[in-house]
Amino acid sequence: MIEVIDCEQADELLPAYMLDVLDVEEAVAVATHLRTCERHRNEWQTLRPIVDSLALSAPVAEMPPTAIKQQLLLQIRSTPRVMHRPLIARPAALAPILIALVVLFGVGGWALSLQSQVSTQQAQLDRMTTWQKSIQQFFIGTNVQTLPVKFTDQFANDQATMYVVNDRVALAVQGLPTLSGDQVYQCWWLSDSNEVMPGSSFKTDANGMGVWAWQRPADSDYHILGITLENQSGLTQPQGPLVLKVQF
Amino acid sequence: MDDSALVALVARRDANALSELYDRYSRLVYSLALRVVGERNLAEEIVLDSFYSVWRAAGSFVEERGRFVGWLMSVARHRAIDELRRLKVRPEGTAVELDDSLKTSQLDGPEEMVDMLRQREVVREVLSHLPEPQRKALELAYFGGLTQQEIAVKTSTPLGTVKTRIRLGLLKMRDELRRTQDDQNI
Repeated sequence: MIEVIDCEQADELLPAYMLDVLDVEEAVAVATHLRTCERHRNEWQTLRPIVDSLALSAPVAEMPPTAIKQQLLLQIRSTPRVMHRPLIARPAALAPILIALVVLFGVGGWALSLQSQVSTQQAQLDRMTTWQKSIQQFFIGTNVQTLPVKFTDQFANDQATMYVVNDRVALAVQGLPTLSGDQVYQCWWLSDSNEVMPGSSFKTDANGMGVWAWQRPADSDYHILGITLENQSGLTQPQGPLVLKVQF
Repeated sequence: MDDSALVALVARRDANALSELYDRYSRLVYSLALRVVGERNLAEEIVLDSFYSVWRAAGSFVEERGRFVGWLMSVARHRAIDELRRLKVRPEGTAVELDDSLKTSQLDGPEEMVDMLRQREVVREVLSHLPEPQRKALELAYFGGLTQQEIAVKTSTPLGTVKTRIRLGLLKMRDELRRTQDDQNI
């Protein structure tokens, strides 16, 4: 588990972060710190062009062979002009269709309720996107993937991003309820055959923020990561409410 | 047409705009790729992949976060480092003969490119004035993709010292480049 890092740790990690030679969990921790620390955000902004300029110190080679450009142009002509994600993955995209259905068929209250759900989903999606972008703007590594995090209704106003590099995953959260006593957030791995394997537990800081990293189980059947709110650590089966889940 | 306008056109799937960007920067990308992987065929693949990434991701380029060329070189560098890690080969230097005689005065082309190559001379000058251990640590991290721990092992240096060298090296570069920029503005 990675704690939220302070300025002293950020001082130490930032240069390596700028050069993209940190492990994913350290990189996520720095990215999360940058989001809230103006001093380091300023340092990041002034160092970014310096790191970029290192590329210019490479000895100048000749032009690459002309065949490479021809291959590039062939390759781009074979790609679709517009690439859309599947409509079902973007619930907000259904809104205009639903509104049109209301007008056409007058299905009244039911459709309005559905439209309201879509609006709520849109608002949540917007919040998530803003939160994710606010961290990603400091994330230089291009080999890092992000996965959508689905919160349960009780925690619908919270925000999180899941970063994945190969078999390492790191979760950055914001706004989770403050824990009391022995309460912990507990990680669980869920297999395709519904077997549950406990992962580690973690606590958030006073603002409900935190960054944690895990190694995915070697068994590739474990495709879902779930987080529950538990009254104690060390459980072998989940007992508390589900907070969020991520599908790999 | 400046780089930002060309990237905006690429985002709208304008192949001619991508071709123009390629003509401007493929040599720089190729140079960086060769410096990292030290092998021509691999470097050519990296050039191809980098510009294909520009084609796919041009819509996500945000000018406020930096210049296009910085973004492009970052894409190319990551691609090259990935290749290096995949092969587990870490060349000390380039394995090919490079033409290092290109000077700003010999260039024709867009102002941005001339500026950039002028900046290249400045960067190399600044790097050459860094203490050798700091310059080496920066190069091992940037071109070799080595973590601080790996640099410590490779150079038989305590980890804390490596961290300090990288930090001081970057800060000195920043200060020196600022000073040079101020001198040019006088």
